[in-house]
Amino acid sequence: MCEFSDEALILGCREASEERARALVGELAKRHLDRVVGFLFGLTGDSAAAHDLAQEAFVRVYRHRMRYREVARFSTWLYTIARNLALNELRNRRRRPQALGASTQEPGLHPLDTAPATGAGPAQAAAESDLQLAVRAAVMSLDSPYREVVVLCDLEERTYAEAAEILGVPIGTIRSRLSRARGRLEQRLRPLLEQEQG
Amino acid sequence: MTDPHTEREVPEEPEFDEELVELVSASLDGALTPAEEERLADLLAQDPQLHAYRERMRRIKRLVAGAPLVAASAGPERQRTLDSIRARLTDSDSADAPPATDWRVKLGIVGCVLGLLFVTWQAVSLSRTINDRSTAPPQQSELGPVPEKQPDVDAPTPPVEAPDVDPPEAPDEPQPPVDPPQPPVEPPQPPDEPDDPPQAPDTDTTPPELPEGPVVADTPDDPVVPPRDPDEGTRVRPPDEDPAPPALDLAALKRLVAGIHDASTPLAQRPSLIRSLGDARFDHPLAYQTLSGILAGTFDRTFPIGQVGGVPVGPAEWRQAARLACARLDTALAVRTLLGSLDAQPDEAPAFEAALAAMRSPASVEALASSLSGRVSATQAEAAVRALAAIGDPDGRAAVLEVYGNDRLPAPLVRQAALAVGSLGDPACLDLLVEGLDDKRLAVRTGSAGGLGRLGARLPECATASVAALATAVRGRELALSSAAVEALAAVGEPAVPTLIGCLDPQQEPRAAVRDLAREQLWLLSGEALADSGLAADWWKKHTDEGLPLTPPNAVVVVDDTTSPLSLAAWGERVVFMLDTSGSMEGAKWARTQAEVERALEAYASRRDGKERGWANLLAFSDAPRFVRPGFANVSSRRGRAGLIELLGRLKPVGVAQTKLLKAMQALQKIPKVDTVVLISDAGESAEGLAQTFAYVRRSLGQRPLRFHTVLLVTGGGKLAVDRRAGSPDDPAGVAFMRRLARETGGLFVREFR
Repeated sequence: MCEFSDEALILGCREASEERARALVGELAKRHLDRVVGFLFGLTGDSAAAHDLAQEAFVRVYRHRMRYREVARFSTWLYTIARNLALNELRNRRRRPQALGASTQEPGLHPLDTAPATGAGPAQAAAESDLQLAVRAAVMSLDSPYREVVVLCDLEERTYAEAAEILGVPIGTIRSRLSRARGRLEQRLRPLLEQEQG
Repeated sequence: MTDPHTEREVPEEPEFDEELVELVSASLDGALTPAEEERLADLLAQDPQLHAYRERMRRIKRLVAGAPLVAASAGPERQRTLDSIRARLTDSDSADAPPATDWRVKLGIVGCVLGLLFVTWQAVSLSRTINDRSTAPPQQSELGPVPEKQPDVDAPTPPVEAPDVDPPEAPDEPQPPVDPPQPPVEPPQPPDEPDDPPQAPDTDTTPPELPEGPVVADTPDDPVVPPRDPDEGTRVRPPDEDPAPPALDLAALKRLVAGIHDASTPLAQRPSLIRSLGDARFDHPLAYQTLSGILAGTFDRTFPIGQVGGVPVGPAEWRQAARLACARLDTALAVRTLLGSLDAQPDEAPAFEAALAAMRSPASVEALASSLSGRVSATQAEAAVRALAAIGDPDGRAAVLEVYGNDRLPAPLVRQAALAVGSLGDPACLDLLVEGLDDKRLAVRTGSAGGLGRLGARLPECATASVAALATAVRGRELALSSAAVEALAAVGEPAVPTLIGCLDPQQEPRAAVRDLAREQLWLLSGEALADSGLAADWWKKHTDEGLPLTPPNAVVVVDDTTSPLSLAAWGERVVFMLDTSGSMEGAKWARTQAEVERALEAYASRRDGKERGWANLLAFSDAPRFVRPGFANVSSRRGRAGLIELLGRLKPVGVAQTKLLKAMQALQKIPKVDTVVLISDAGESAEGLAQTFAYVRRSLGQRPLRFHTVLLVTGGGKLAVDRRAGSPDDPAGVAFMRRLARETGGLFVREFR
């Protein structure tokens, strides 16, 4: 099955039996799971939620398989679904009642802005350099619109056009947001970089 | 640093201004235009701090790429997640198919009964309303989707039909017909235009016959548009063009709509029924509502689809029929219906534009013009401007000029307006277009050059001034503007030939790319390969002495057997050969591809002296695209050329691979500085895939000064010639795609003839 493109697999679901369609979507999940989880973590800042939402995204792909049109890459479609789910989740979080004193949010901040710095466990953290941890923390501290483009363009290595399609904004917006995000990262990480060079 | 009032972190003052940071950032992704590249290179050379800043940014980009936010799941955990997904997929099926005794089914039956009662009540109300209704235009909401898009977190607008988490309400569909369906319905009147057969992939295995000498095209490019060259004279409306409109035939319209909605209507008949809505007797809200629904795609899953005589009949064919109907109705509402549906089908923008351009009535022109002052998307505005340029009605001039003079509008739109200003042929616009050559945006400057070319071609009294302004633009520093000016000079024709000949002289024009382009344009005008200014001057003297005509702009240009058209095409400084290596290219077609590229490379090198460099690379594409080498080869040097030809020799078509042009174009977008693309293919992709690719090129690559030369191979054994004709409605999708791609980007369409 690996020799087929993603688009061939999802289009193949249209004609396939339900069992075969499940197998095809399962193959797509195998291919994309890790990256989608990473993307969702970038949006939600919550590792468990990212896994749950990734599952839900593939279920949506299966349910709506007949609606896929080969206008863009399959992964663009998948990420659009995943992003919709993440935004919905964040909206629901804000609506959920919270116990007094339980909120860690600063007033006026988007939930994404107070996301934890990293989802890595202690063992993983120990294995990584301080610089990597600092980079990750700096990325997670960006405001959500900037973090989204960094995740898509630098981590996922997507083109401006693809990022624009996923986020539903013009390409020029992607370009300016990415430049601001990198500018902020540069400011925050400059001491570390200079220390590393020195 | 923190803000004392909000306690929020405030970014430090950046050391460079925002625009500069954006330039640096985009340069890391190869997303700069050539002009921006040039500017940044100058700035970097002057400012070592900026250079250091860019290096820090580059380091950060690498660090971010190497520090995924969440680690890849370990084997067992990953497997558990995948198992959960599979289990949920199975649950999803069972959830989708509840048992027949489920309470939801019962509720559904009750709902259906209530729904039927409601529909009956609505039908009676509608019948009364329609009978009482005047022919006043319906509100915009009646015409289907609202054209403008608002960014909304709840309802993002993905490029594909992504299932929203919070699904929006279903769009309004046309009301069911009042009368019971009475198929088969006799189409009220056969359409005037020739039937448009659904376009099939280019399966023709024999190339067309080569015409004798240059042949003027005599068939239209699009089924909707009558044959018209963009440079033809301004349309003059007949003085008493106001025939009495035919009486509304509401009963027949209702029967027709019922037939369109009836699932039992034969597959082949539905497009014909939809086209019949374009009859003037059906100028009624019900017709527009139906057309709007079809164009917006709300019926896509309602009608059965299939094949008739091996040709697919489905949503694309229904939409084409609906566009034809709108063009035939030729009313303000038809214009709004087309414009309102355009954003829902961005891949079909050229077909929408063709339908709009076919309209002629004063009401349509007024609606197009007024749309430019309303709230429309950039796509809609661009379509309206192109249509007004093609119609050439003086009444559209004010609206186009307003767009051209508005520097807050997107540059691609203003560029189209500049071209339209030239097409509308008003001598008073000459000065405006000359001023446009100094606009701050490159796209507007090149568009103004194109507009001057069109104006000079249309109005002999403006030719001299146009040529003078364009000659100045050719001498400017910007390669993109100089190139646009050379093409515009060629469009002017005879008055510009001496200036073009002057461009061949290395003393006068030191840039090889500009000389190459002038040579190409002179070849197209003369039909002869004029290698230098001396030969060109001889030809021009003979031409003027004997009073010979220039080759018409819409002709087939043939070269002698020993020369390839690609050898005469201008390449600029950086060329990518996009070579189709799908299975269908095996055999003679691939051998021909290799031979043509090799000959073209040799010819290109012969046009450069030792100091002038030219760069090339090969992009092989089938299922997936790949460049054969990581960087460009200097093909001016023998060694660089030999290396590239060796890599070309190693390429082979893949037996089972399919053509995926879209992916190849996406790969191309990542490469900066390319100014020319030579696409060699048999275009063996579906009509839909080609439409998507064309839309992508327009959207993503169209803003770069990029020329596409396209070479369409059929058997690999025929003779290649440049086809500059407008095209035919019977053209297969592959031919139409290759022709349109070359024409819209200013390149050559080369095809194989017997």
